[in-house]
Amino acid sequence: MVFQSVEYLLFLAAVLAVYFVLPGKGQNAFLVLASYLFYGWVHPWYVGLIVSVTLVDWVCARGMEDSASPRRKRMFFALALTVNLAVLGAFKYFGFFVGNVTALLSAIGMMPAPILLKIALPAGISFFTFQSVSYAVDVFQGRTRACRSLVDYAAFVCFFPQLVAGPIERAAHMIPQYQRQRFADWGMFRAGGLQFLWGLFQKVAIADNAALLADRVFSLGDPSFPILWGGVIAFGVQIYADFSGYTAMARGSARLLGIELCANFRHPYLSQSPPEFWRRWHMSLSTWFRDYVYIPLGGSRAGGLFWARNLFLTFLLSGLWHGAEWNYVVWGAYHGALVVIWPWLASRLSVLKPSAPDSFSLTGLGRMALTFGLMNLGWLCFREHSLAMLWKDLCLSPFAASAAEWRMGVALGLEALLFGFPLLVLHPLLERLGWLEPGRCGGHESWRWTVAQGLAAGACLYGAVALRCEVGADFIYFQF
Amino acid sequence: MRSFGQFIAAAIVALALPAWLCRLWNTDEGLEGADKGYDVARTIAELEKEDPDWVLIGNSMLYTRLSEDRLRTVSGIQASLLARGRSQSAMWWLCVKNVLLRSKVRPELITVFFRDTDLTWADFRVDGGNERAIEDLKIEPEPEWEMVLGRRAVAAGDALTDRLSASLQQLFPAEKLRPVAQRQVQERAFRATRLGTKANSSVRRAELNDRFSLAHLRSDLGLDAAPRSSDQSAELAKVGNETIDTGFYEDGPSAFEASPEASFLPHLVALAKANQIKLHFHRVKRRPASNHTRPDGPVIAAYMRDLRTYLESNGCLLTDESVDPLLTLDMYVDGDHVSSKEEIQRRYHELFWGRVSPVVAPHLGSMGGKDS
Repeated sequence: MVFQSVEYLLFLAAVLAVYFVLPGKGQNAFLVLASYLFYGWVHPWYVGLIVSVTLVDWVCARGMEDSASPRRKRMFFALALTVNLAVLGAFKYFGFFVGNVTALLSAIGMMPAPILLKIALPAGISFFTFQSVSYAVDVFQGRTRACRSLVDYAAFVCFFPQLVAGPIERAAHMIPQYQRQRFADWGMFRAGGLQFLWGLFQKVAIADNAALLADRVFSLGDPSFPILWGGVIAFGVQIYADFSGYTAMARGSARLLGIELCANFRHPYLSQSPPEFWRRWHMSLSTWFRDYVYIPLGGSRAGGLFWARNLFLTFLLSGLWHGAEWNYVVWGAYHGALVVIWPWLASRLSVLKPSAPDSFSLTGLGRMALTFGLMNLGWLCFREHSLAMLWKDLCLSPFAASAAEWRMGVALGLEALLFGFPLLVLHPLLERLGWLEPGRCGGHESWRWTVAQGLAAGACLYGAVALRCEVGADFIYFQF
Repeated sequence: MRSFGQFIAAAIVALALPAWLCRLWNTDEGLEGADKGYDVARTIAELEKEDPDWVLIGNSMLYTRLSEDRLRTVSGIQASLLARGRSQSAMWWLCVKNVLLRSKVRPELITVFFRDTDLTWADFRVDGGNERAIEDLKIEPEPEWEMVLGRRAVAAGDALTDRLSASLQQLFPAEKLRPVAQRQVQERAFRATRLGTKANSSVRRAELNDRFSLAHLRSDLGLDAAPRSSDQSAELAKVGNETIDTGFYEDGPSAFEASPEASFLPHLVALAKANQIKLHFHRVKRRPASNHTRPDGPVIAAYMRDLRTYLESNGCLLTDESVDPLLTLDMYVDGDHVSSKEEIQRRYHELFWGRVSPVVAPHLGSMGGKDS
């Protein structure tokens, strides 16, 4: 069930109709049931997997907290970690591992018997296992208390708006929200509805139209330099609008249910450096890697080469998290190298030094354009799954293309940017007005603001209807 | 209470604004060049002008393989193609019923080009871009349509979602507005990049379409159109033709079913019988893997056996090029489409006529065409 479908609208309406008449504990139990229905809509067996992971983590976390001996505590922690990583490994990386070992053995003349094990990748597995791992680590390190209620914990793992593609939440943020009764708040309904419609617009009007352009280019066997880069820009617009649109719809749906999810994006394409981009893009994943990989590896404590190694490894793993394919590894390595090299370069080239926040300068604009270009080079690695084709793409010469090819390529890139223009204008406006963020959404209580908010929601809905791409693409992050 | 009132006010504004704008701008103006569906009257006029003995119906499997002129050259028969990209069995039935049989033309033979289980895959491609053409082709109430597809909708439990979809489409009508709005975005991109060219937008659009034509697509793409998601593209690139087989037909029928509720095939057969027109079905060969012609798997083999039995018992003809070793990989341009190169087209037409003429020639009484 996807957010932009009629099925989801009916499902959400049915959930809302029952949810607010139930008492606190009943609300959570109902949320869990609804979430399992949502998750098992197409593949019911997925539910068995998520229930198993939930049970193991809940028991282990309680075991950790209740254990007097550190050894027993470590044992529970190891069990939780092993189960989560084994589930992720088996479903996501087993085929990749076997394929590469087989290829390696074949290359050295050995002919291993082929292992044919086709396992369907359950949607969102990388998201809910990471959320579960963070819970186990936090309980083990005493950063959060183990959740005593299985139902509350299950709601934390399987909450349907964020189950399939995040944001990756932390127990300390979510579980207290499940422990209190939620009431229908019409101010939150307004803000949630507007956020949902804004997300819908991003997905069906921006991402899907940009996807059409990107898919055409990446279907070409003989792209020229300008056409390829027109397609890469289209993909850059697509992936941002797609994921940001999903997140907005997730946050909007959650807000209707009285639950606040964390933000995942802060205008990443306005970043003036790659490190800044990663502080603004998929923030829930970036902070996860920071807290559970980079810092445990030593972070910047040892300085110099160790810092660079830790950062690079973190990005490499982040690449692999996105998918069990070599192009994602290349993508992770590329970004790892960028964030390591950039501060070094900035210390030598003053134009690369970040300017004060909110200040505008031409060099700042130049840094923004440079960062956007570097990110698009990364998107090429992300989108092109065949390494041979990726190499071919990288070898294309801009001078070999004709003027007509340049016109086509620039027109393609520009068309994608035009579709993405509202991301640059409408989104900051809605944010500045405080209509998309918690706490501030109910701040404008006058009738004039109410009508203005209704007009903004109507504009998003109209944009989604008028520009909806006939052939909708899947959410990109569903595959992770 | 005030908060509730404000929510209702915002919701009314949020719904009323797009509903009003859709009604205001959802007009035929500016639709030039966009998909206007199926022009039944023009097709009938063209058919009557050509007055063919042989009408061939199908999708891109047909028009990338055959052309009227070449077919006339190799066969000597006046043939017309009713081919439309991404069309399917539902549209082929509607074409025969509401185009061919509404014209004055009564061909001696109708040939339907199909691929594997297309003929009984009733809901294949009836949405996702074909809706307007289908609406145009359904020029009167179609009880057969309801019999085949109406039953499916109810059986699938989609009735409520369908009703809601229809209501939303009524509330926010945008089928004419959408292509215009999307084209305006493209238009602006063209205008901003017209440096060094005097070509207008339609010429540049044609250039762009040509650049993305079948001849330029990656040869490992198996579908009629570009992949819709990155993982699909990756899968296709990785495993090539094997994915094409399983992926493309995974939602199609797994067994042949002859009942009139199951597909449009029995209705097509009944129409031809009632009008005393011979029906011929031609199964195309899908892209071979490295010149190795793959035999049918057990499911398709059983399907084809049952299809043949059904067609023969109803007096229809069936030819099958799928096992022809002379249709080699070099003849394919992308997926299952045959290359438009001169030499390959000539080869294909000769092979085609060589294969079908022993079967169809006895039913084409005026061999040599009306002109000869």
